[in-house]
Amino acid sequence: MSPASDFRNEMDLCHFEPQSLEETLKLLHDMKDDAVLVAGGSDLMPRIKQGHISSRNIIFLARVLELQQIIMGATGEVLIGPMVTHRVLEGSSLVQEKCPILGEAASVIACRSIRNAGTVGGNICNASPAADLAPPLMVLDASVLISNPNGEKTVPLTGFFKDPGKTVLEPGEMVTAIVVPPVPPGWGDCYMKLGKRKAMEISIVSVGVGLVLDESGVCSAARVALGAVGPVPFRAIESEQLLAGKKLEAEGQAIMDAAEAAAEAAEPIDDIRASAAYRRDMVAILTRRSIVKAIQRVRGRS
Amino acid sequence: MKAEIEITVNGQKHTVAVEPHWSLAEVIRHKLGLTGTKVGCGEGDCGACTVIMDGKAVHSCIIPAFNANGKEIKTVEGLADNGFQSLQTAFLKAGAVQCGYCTPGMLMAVAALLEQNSNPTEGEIREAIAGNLCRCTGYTKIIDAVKIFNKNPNLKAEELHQLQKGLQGDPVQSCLGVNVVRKDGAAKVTGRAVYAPDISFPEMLYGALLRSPHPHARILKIDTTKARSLPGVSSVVTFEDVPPVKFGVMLEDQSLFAAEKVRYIGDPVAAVAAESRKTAEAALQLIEVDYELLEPVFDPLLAMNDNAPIIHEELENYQMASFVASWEGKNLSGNVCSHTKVERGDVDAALGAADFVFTDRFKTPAVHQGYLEPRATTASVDVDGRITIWTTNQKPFTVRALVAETLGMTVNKVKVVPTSIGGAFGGKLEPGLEPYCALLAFKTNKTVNMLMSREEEFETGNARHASVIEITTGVNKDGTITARKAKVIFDTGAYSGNGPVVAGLATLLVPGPYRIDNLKIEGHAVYTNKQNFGSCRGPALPQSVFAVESHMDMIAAKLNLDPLEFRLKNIVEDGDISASGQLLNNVGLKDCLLKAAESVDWNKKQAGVGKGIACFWWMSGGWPASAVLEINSDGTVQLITGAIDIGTGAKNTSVPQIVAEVLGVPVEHVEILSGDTDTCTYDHGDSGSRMTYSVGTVAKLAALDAKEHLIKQAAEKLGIEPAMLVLANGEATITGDPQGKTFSFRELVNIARSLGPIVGRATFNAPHPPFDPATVEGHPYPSFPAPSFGAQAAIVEVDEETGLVDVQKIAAAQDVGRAINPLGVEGQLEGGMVTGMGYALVEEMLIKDGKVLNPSFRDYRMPTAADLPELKSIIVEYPADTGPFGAKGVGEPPCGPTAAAIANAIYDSIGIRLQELPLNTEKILNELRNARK
Repeated sequence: MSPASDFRNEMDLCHFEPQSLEETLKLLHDMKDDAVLVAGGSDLMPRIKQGHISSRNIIFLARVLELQQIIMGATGEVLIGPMVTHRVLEGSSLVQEKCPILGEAASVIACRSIRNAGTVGGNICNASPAADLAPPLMVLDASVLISNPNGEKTVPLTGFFKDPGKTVLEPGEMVTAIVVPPVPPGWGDCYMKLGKRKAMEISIVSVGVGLVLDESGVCSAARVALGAVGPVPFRAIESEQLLAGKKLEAEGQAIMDAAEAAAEAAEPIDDIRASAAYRRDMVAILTRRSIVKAIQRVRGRS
Repeated sequence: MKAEIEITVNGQKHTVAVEPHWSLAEVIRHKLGLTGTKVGCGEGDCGACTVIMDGKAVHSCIIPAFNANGKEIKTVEGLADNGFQSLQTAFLKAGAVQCGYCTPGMLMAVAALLEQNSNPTEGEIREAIAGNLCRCTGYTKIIDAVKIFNKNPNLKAEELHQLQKGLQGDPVQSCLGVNVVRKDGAAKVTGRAVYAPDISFPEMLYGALLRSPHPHARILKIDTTKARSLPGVSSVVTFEDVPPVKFGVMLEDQSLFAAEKVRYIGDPVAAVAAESRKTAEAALQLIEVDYELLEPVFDPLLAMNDNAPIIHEELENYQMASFVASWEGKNLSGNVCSHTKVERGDVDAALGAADFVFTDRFKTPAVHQGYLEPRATTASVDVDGRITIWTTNQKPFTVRALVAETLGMTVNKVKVVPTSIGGAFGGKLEPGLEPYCALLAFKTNKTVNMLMSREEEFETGNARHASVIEITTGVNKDGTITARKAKVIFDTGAYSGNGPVVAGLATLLVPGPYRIDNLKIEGHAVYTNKQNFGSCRGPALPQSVFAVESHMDMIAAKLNLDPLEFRLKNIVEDGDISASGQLLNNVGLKDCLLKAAESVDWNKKQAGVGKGIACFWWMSGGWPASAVLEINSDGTVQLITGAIDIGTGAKNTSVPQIVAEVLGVPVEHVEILSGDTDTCTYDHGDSGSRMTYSVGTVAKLAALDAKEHLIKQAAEKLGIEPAMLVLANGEATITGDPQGKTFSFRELVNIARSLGPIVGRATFNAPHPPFDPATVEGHPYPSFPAPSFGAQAAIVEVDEETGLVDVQKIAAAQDVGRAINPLGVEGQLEGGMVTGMGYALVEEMLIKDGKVLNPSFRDYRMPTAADLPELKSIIVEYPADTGPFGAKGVGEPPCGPTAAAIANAIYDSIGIRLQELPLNTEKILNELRNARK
């Protein structure tokens, strides 16, 4: 006796399991726009089943080992392969040392079992406005290494997202690494997300903050990135400008102003997870809290 | 296009041809036949499908099969071989298994954690299982199981046998009040328990339902020609293929297929059987239905208006369901399908005379039962024209009757085989897929299988009723309640279903467990163009208690009374009467309130946190039960009853314990048959907190009957008077025998059996306690058998900037009469508190224009292990006169008072009173803002 089939959509799909990056790029080149790359599958799998994927060719990247590494680059940057899982990111000692905010963000994605499957590349390339890794990567000024059969290029993450579910990737292109430059001395950062549960939540609002403080507590540079409050994750530049050059104190005006500016910059929508007004209010709260935490971390490190 | 992958599962290599869109879960279940791995949602939201892949826990329903290529997989079936048999034993010992549908995934998530970290903290355990939803246990006992395992990682399976005698380990004088391992436990922790989605036969067909896309429309024409001619389609059926039978729980307003009108998005219009699900669903698209759209109505208050669109034009002509002779469903008109009234004293005069009068109005949303096992049914017709139906339903005998009635068969031609049930909580109380599946099996003469998706479960199940409750209470200066008037409206959706019962129950719950001489409570179930709402764990209870107990605290605040003192002043005690005039006794309410309050340090004010309390009363469920019991030649016992177990374990622990106690045999000598409607005698079903109370009683009566036969036959054989034979503690003695002769139970059985088999039988239908008929009108359930009482207290902290409520502790004290299996009682309390917390804070079916906007576990948020507060279970025992050994019903009410306790704690914390559930972040912030203005 074999159990009932749950297969609701039996569809004519072709699969490919390339063994190397080179092979993957060749496949992409041959198929042009009619291919979809599957990393961990945690997000794509339900969509493929529901017939929400237009492409007939599915390329599974699980066997491309060169995409699964986290390595230190020549100039101190951290190179994260797109097939690195959230759980590996969380546990990486290199990440802990160089860019712990990424581990912090990875650790609040869904749940441990999903983090064992979901990948950095998937989180970025699905281009969800609520992608948990996007704000901290923007805070770190990360960029995306994109390869196509003719070569590679680097795109800053701030320029990578176009619309919900859409990136600047052209047919035949894929992300081969996420490049995280080293942080300057006096750096502190923080990622916070708001959900209604303590696990298994898609962010209602998420905020990443990174800043550099000099010894007197004056902020010389700041980055504030927001998720789930616009069509794509983005940097709140005005908020950043309000922090730069100011002496930051927990209840101080500069932080309040920066939090308000971040809320101003948000373009949230009403949906089943929250109202636009609530989201906007929460941007201010989370931004303020993240700045305070980031300041504490600068001090904790020095 | 298929291609081969190679995977190693539980140490065995397999080469499997898979399609690109197949998941690892599908490969494991359908290609390898390892059905221990469950699928609850297919979208990675519930974790029932968790397996270990290369040492890491993953949700196998969202792992592409190709991503598992070359990997090593461990499933629950291989857990014992991987050294984790003791973990499985620990789960049983801790009481961590109820319905068992989450259990395999939970075990694998824990096993993956333990492989990497042999001594995890509680926080690490919670994190590891945060993606594994469990609706039954409230997670606490699962975490306990891991702690037990850590203390004793060498728990052997042989100990399981020992555990079945009673968990304390010491020899016990009584089988009652002892923690017993559930009889279906071993099957559930090994993945061998068979649930409805696990049933399959070779060459079976797949059925699917065409459902209405419109909330309210007239059907002008149905054309199935194109669907019928699609290759691979075996049958297409509509209303024309079935007798024009109407059915319903109380009011016969439903038919299998819409004939003239559709009344909600999801109303069944046609069904198809085909060689694959794909073909069946393709055929649905080819059925052409011409609709004339009608104006819908979604708000029950608007539906009560004179000019509202009428959803059932024939309402006045509908028949009452045949078994509800006592219900007068009269004066029904418009969209109001039930009127129930409870009235005593002179409420208007008393309100006029009261020192203070307070009126408040409350709203609660529709919420889903949240069981993890989706509905599934398989039906097969044999050469004699008999039909067999494997299904997951709380009432197999009702399914049998309904299938017979709607398909024009006799009852004894239908055999319903209940599978293990992966949670139900009232959601599987009404027949679902069964009649359609049976019909398609008849039409095709083949075995037909049907399965609901999670989305379908949310859109077309029968979720808990939304309600609007307005209460007016008169109080004297000293805090004595003198009068209460209330109007309760339940949105019952497109069909009445259980709505009239639920609205009726509310009229007894809204008075609360309080002594009030002047009352007028009216309850209505109202049709709207939404899914048919139905029973959900304690139907009407959480709605009513949220309203009443919030109202009580609002009064207390205005009168500057302590909420606990105000309750204690007004609660019912022994000798008081209920709203309908039922005399109350064995009332443990005061004790419950005091103990719940004590466990949150009620009188100690703590900065930054709020404390709230709420109490309730509820019934022990009656309805008919029957049992046959045989004592075998070796002294062991078989109990045969059609009762089933939806997960609470009452049938698999308490009922055998009761039998063992009556006969004086060890509980492991009692087997309870899990049979079907052919082999077992009638039982109403697993609902209404009735298993221990009603099934326990019938089992006790059957055991007593067998015992009487045993003694009579043995005495006859021994040539003595039956009265001389005394059976106690598993031993028989002849009184007055100078030699003091004694027999073991087994010896006695053999003496008696020489004159014939020893079989006991019993039927039981718990009588409604006497009430005052003059006080009730149109009441389907006017008094509560063996009422139970309880209270819960909560401690919360509110983040005033985000509106997030952090529930730190919930304590539940419940008067269960007598705790037959205390571990099981705690499991009910813990699971209820967590379900109640979800109802309080986050759960809500968002329905717009009749369409469910959040039909997934991703957007319908049930609490996870990460959200778990500290839970405290307090068992209070005021034995019921009528319950078996004093037991009262336990299962439903623990989710009843939680939302009210949390709402009251929020008020205590930040002074904000919310009168509409859920108490979500945005409402809290809005109120805080209004308060600051």
